[in-house]
Amino acid sequence: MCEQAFIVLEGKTGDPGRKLLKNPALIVDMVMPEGHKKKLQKAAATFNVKM
Amino acid sequence: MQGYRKTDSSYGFEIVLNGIIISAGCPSTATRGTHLGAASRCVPGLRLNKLFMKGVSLDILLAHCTEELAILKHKRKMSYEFCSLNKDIWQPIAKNRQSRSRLRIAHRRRTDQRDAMQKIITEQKVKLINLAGSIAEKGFSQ
Repeated sequence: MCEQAFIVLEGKTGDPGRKLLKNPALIVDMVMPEGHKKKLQKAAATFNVKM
Repeated sequence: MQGYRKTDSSYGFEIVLNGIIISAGCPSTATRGTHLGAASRCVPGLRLNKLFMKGVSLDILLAHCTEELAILKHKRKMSYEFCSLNKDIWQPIAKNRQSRSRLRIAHRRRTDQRDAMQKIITEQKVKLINLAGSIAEKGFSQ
C-alpha cells in the first residue's frame, strides 16, 4: 500500500508540450496556426531532452 | 524495474505495451499543482491489471516504460516506482460515463493519442506554445 500523495508537476498542457518538443515531427502533423508551429519548432531546436 | 524505488512526486508519461500506448500522462483533468492523494486507491498493480491488462504483470508493463522513465530520471533526478503508474490508473475511475469513454478512447491506439494531443492543442492554443517555449528555455518545473 502506498501512503504517499502525489502532486502533478506538469499537467495536461505540459505533457503534449513535452512530446512536441521531444518529437518535432509531430508538430507538422498537428493542426495549429503556422506561427505556432514555427515557435514550437524553434523551441524544439533548443530543447534538451536531458535537461 | 530496478532503481525506481521511492516516489514522492509524479509526472505524466506513456505506458507502452507491445507497441501500443495504453496510458499516457497524468489524468486529463489534472492541471499543474493538482494534489492526487487517496492511499486506498494506490495499491500498486491491482487496478492496473484489472482495468487495462488482465493477466499481464507489472514487470512486463514496466519493461516497456524504460525509455520514458530514464528520461524522467534525468529530468527530475528523482526515482519512480509503481506508485507513479497508479496515478494513471485513477483515470478510469471517472464518475460519469462520458469521461470514462473519453479516457478509454485515448488508451486504445496510437492515433487516439494523437487525437487527444490535438484536442489539447486546440483547447489550450497559445498557452501550450508558451509553455513549450518555457520548457525548452528553462526546463521543467522543480
